[in-house]
Amino acid sequence: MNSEALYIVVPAYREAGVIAGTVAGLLSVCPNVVVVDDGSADATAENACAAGAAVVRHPVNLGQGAALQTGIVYAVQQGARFIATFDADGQHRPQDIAAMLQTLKADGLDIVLGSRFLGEAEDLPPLRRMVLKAAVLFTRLTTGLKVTDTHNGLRVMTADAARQLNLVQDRMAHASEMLAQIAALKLAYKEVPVTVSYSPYSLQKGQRLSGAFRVLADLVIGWLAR
Amino acid sequence: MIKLLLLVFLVLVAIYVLMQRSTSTALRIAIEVLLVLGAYFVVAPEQATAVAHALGVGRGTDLILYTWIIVTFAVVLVLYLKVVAMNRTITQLARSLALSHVRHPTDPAAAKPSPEPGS
Repeated sequence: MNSEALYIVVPAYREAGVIAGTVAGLLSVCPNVVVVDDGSADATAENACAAGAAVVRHPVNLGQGAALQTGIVYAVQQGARFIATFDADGQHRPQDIAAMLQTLKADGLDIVLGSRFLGEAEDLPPLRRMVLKAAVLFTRLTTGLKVTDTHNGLRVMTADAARQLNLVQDRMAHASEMLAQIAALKLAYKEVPVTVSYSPYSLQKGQRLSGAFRVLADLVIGWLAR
Repeated sequence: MIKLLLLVFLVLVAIYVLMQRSTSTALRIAIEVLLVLGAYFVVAPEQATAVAHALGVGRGTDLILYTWIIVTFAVVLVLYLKVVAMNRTITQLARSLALSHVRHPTDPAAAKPSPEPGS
């Protein structure tokens, strides 16, 4: 792949233990890795920098959506032609990015979304599967997008699409917000199968059921605050 | 005695609202009308009961309580939306601050976040 033009954005909060491994894995497929440390009190920023990533650090904790948007703005400023987003906790596979970028270029798309339900969801607990499926149903009803996985942190987009997206949902409602914007902007999108591996670490870091209600509340408030 | 106290309080609020230049004229007029209505019900509470009966509520005090609850919810919602707007401003500030001190792995000198004017 033409890796010079690709930037990989990794939002991270309190990931000091795993961030170096994630960055190392990404640097093996692309030289431009930017970790957005969302105001962690631990050594996330230091470890990411030592592992070879550019580090943008929020002075205070703002949320994953804010971190993603910051990383995307940074990548665009750096002259990226393509931007990937990737979770810090090691649940994605770096080699999936190459295939997604290939699809993006070959099909002339604006954005390619990873889907664990088209691909592999390793050791996904039943309750989490139910919440994710409910989110998919919600997104299909509210945006009309025929997606199978709405909360997958692995995405590859063009710089042009990145410039049009503007995430203002700072916390976890950004995933729904991004899909709503993809629908509103009529971006050409496609889902491709990716493998998501659930480790005890990623499960402990992940969202609880209560998070889904927080997301719903954030979406309603975001709609009112427009 | 309590009526006098309430009326003095309402007059003070009315003066305060009149001085709020930054609030929109429409909102200030609406609040003044509500205050005059409140003063009227202080002077003639039986009128509040008459209105309550017309609306199917037992007593004037109950009507005022229900109205107050609704107004309180509306105020909480408006204040929360202001908090959301403020948080968005904070996010923008934090983002531009973060983007002005990026640490590059090849450049250890940039590791210390020191504010550089114009950077």
